[in-house]
Amino acid sequence: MERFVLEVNHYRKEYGDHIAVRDLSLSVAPGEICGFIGHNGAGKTTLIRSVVGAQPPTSGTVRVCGHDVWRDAIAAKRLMAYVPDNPDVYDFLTGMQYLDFVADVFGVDAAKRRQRVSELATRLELADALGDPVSAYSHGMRQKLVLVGALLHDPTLLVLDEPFVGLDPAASHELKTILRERADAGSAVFFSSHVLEVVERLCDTVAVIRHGELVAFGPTDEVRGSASLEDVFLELVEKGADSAHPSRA
Amino acid sequence: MAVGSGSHGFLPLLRLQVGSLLYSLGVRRGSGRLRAAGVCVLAAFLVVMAVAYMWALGSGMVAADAGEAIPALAALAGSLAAVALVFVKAPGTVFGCRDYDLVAALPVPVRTVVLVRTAPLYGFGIALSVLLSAPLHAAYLLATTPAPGAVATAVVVSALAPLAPAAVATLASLVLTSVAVRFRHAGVVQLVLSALLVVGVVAGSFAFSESFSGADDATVLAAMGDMAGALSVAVSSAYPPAAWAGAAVVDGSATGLVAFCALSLACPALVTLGLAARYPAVNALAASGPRSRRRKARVSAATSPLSALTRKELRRIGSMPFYAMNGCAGLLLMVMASVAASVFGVDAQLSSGVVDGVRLDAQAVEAMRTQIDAALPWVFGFCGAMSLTASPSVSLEARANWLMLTAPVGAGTVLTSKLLANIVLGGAAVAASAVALLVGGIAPLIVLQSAVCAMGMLVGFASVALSIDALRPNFAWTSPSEIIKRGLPVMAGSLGGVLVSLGLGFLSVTAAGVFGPMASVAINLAAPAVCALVGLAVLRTIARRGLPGPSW
Repeated sequence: MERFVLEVNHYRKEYGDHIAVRDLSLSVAPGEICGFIGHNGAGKTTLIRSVVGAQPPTSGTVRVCGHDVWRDAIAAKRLMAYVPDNPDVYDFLTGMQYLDFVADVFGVDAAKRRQRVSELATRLELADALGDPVSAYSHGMRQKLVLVGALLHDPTLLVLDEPFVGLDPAASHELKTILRERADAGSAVFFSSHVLEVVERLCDTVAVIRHGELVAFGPTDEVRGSASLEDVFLELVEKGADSAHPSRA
Repeated sequence: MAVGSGSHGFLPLLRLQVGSLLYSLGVRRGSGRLRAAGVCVLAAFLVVMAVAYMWALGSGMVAADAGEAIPALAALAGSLAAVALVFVKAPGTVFGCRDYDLVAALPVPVRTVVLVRTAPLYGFGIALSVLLSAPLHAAYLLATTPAPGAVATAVVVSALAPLAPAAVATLASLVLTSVAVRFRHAGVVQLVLSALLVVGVVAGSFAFSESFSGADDATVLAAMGDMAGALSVAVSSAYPPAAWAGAAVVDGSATGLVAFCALSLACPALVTLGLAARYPAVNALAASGPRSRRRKARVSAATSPLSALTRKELRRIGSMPFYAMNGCAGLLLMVMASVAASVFGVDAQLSSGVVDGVRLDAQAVEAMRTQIDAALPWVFGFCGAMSLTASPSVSLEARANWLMLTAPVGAGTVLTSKLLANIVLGGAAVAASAVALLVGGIAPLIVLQSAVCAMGMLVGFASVALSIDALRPNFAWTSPSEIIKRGLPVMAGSLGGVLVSLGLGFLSVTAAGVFGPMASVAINLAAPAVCALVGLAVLRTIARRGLPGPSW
């Protein structure tokens, strides 16, 4: 078994002359929930899109369970699921048609998909709306639909970009429970969020990015020390982080 | 949103709206001189074509002694152009707007917002109206002794003609949109109705041509003059404002002019005030989705990723009538041509004058048998080459492209599914056409060549167009027409396919004349196959580079 589910090594991403992320390394072990925080434009979504295979890095590697996301893409993608920051899915499908589509693409057999759809849609209170077209869904319902789709194939790595945006309190609570269950079952979760209280309470490890550089990474308790994560984040991100260095990479 | 009066915010919002409309038409700030020059050249070309066509129509009517029907027809032409524009653009521009909440929160009077939303549509409507009706009026005024002030009246009529119809079209579009967004299968119904309309128009034009079968030019001209006269009467009775406009230009009728101007100005004003009074409700009406069925949906049986992706593509085509009609128009024409050939016979059609510009007697048809047999398959090749649903299919992924990029399938599977959906539709049309031709007694070898030409050109050019789209997709479109009608992949694929079909058809006919019929058979079977193989090789190369491509 691989020591880490997700390994990012010396990741760098440039857009023309602009360096979005420079030499970033981090890892997430099985059973871990890793929170990824940073200010707007820090490079969170850039890294996440490279992790899930939507955008190639300029240099560096991203591995999922040992599979290079860009050289062994299909094997890596089979093991993970992605929930983007904006749940844009095909408007012309119904919720169930979308889930069938995702299940077919990820090779989920009929019995398992029936069981998983029923369980997850009920938990996220979406079951009654699955016959409706996605075009009729609210933002929150689309978010729930994408979440159900992401969990259908029991991914070993779950990557989420701002997953709590748009969810009602009940769904938000349910999602936190689901993420913890996934981690307890041996999967890894890597998500970005601006809700520092959630990250502080939910995550085993936390990574802080500022202007494309990782300024802190390690167990949540170690990163925050005796202060709150919010205080640490403000200190690291807004007051400079000359003395802060990644504690694990 | 404030409900008071005043023009505060009018100009900034109008600038924004015009910018948005231009953006949706493909005009981008800082998009490069080449692109801007291309847009200008294309616009100039279209203007020249439209003016030339309308001038020819007007001159023809004058020659057919139907000149007095022209002003009414000009008013109608200008009106219809605006109606078409408003029907396409009003949903999403005037009502059902995505940015409604943002605009509603601005301290700007509602009337100003509605006026700003409708003004660019009226403006473009006026421009279209002037473009279409000015050549008609010019043809009339140059051929007759106009009444005093007729030129000025014609100018006023041209400018005002689209206003009332555009206002009514806005309301009609609102009603249709409100119904359509609540009806889950509105797209399919619209698609079927559009297909029936196309069939009706083509069948009507065939019937029109057939009615002049065997007649000489003088008889045809006289008949067209009668028809134009009848059209004038029909236009005047069906749309009285056109008759008022006609009377104002032809007879200098002041009453007609006043009535026309009053109606043209009153309608937009009333519609604007009416929309302003109910703007929040109007937006909610048009922006809402279908009613929730609130019943549990059933999970489907598992299928392969390729099959799932292909089914998804077909569902997308079925859900977007505009996309389907653009991508499948050639297939529809192919089936219609086959049925016509089957029912009436190819020889009878060639000698009847139904095909514009082709007037052969039965003897000439028989003498050209070899050339006709060589050319016929390329009619199908032509139809196949213009039926490329795959062309904009990568761009159509838009903001949902993350699904395509994170799916555990190769780029080849993603692109193949898009091509396969195109082939499924093309294959069905080709199969139906082949059956119709065989039933009609067309020789099996010609049917085979026709099927090969259609599928070969479709596969070849759909692959090339899809490759171009996969290389540089446009995910940032604001209206699907940007990529379905005006995108580079669609232009390159369809225009290239049509030109190559014509070229190969010419080559086949020439080879049949020089080397005999077997040479044309060889070309008709080999050339489409080579075209398909080249296209597939290009697509394979692009797929091997993977998604996202380097230029994304």
